[in-house]
Amino acid sequence: MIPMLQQIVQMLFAHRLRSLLAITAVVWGIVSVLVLMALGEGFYQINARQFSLLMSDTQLALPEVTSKPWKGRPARREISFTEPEFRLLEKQSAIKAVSVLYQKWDASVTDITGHTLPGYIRGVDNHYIDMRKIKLAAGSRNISRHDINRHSRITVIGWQLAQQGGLSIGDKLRVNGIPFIITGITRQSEGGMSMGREDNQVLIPSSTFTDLWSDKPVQVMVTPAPGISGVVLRKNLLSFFASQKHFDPSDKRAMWLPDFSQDVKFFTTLLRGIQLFLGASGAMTLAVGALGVANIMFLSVTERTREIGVRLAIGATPTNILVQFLLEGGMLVSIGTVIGVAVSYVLILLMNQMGLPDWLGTPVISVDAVLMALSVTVVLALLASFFPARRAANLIPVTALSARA
Amino acid sequence: MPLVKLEGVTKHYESGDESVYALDDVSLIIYKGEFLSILGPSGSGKSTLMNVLGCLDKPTSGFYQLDDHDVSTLSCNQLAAIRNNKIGFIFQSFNLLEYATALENVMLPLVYAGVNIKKRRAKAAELLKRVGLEDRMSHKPNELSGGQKQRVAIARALVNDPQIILADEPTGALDSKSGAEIEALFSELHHEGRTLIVVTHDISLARRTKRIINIKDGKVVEDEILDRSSAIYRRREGD
Repeated sequence: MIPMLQQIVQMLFAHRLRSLLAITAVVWGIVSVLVLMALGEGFYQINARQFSLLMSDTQLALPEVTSKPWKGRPARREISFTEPEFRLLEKQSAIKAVSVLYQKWDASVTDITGHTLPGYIRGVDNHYIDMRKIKLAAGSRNISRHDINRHSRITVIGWQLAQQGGLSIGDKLRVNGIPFIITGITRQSEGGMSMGREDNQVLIPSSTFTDLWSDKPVQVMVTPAPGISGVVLRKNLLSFFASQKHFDPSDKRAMWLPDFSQDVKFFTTLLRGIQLFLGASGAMTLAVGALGVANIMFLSVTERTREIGVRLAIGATPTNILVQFLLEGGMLVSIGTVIGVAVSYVLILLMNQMGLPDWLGTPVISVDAVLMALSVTVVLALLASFFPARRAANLIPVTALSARA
Repeated sequence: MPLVKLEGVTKHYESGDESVYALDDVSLIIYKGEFLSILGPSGSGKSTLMNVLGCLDKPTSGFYQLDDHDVSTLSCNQLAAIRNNKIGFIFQSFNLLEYATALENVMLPLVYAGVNIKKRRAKAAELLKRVGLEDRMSHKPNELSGGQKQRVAIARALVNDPQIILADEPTGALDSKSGAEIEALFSELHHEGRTLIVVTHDISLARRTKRIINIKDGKVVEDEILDRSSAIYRRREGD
């Protein structure tokens, strides 16, 4: 095998231009597959982050109005919970974490000089930012358990509000005239799923919120214990709320427990579909590259018919000839693949350094993409080399020898 | 014991509506150590006979025995093995690999014979030295003269110690000086006891061998022994 490999390297070097063209065709194909798939992966990841709440297992629960009478109580009763009532959920074994949410739309939000800002207030627990997968800008500090216990007057604000008010971390803003220190700002484009004007929100500790207003929480967010499915969790929550507030456990209008699983499925299918489309486009280019290799291999067999005749005359078997041409094709494709993968990594690195639009995300070459490209290449290389190799191996020595040199 | 035995060998091709007999009922015996020529004009069937003798082509009918093997029944791979270790070819146009050095060209049959690199290199170097090209081992064919190329081809033909050396118009592409050198080399090989079969249309080259088989229209028309003093023919006449 080693002498054969040496001969092949020698032959490829002897026909530099032809080899270079074949390798270029493969490099082009590999780069197309990997770069397109990397762009698809970046697009998937940025969008998956945008829809992170949908894709997480966090469950929202919002009190609404009953639609059925229950045990002597009429329908159309408005349901509401106090914070201690929601907190009882923390004792449920199916639940890992609970975060209540207060909301105030009509509070006065101003900067320290008294200019009105378009912000609204949300009173949240220390889990809230993590549960909502909200990313904070560098230097930010999350609302902590300590802040809740101490009723701290600190706030984490939306990036748009910060931009509009020219606010930075450490600055102050006023809520109904009371100063709050800004400890954090949400990161642009990565604020989690947008629910309302979140980029203008002013998050304050829930305990501080209840000091200012006597409102009830508008919703609760729940993270299930490990192994608890969304279906089981929603069923448990509904029966818990029904027993607390005395409504029919089958009355789905009393509490809104949104099920995002179908949306998640739709979004992931859509995003993966886009990725698949990009990968398939690249694979087509790779197939064209393989056709180039096949073409060049056929040309090689035709040009070297006399050489094949000489080899057969001095003792090569048809299998020797078949293996030689398979290895030649294989080597061209292997060299092309290695260069293609390297070029793809460099291109993606350059793209990331140059900076791409936010909506495209950060392209990344995944191991899966490389493995897919490699497996497609192996199959195409075998196909591209096999038919020319078989033609070479089937040549009759005397016919091959009589070919024009 | 004959080295080559052909009995009623026929090779015909269909050319349009007619059958062309390139070989027509050829019977022939060649002994080990013979130096003979197959002589005939262009289209006489001499190259077809060489192809059949060299196992490059199969006869349409007839029996061919080489060194005790019935060659007509062998598979492609078995024929390849026969070509590799029993036959050495020398072609008019040398047929060297252009991208390989003289040494690598000579080593090539040993690659297919599965000989290890060290032995391959030593044997090929020894043969190149034998044909006077020890200082041209790392030269590629385009750096060699016609005579030197043919000597590389002779070294390649000898490298597996074949039973027969088949040469097809070996001096046809050479100038007279190089041609004479190759003829001298053939004489040396004959004196070493090797079996040489030269296919040619050149009567003067044929006259330098010990036996001439004249072929015309695919038939052996004359089988003339030129040197009856040779031990081989003395033995045969005594049989």
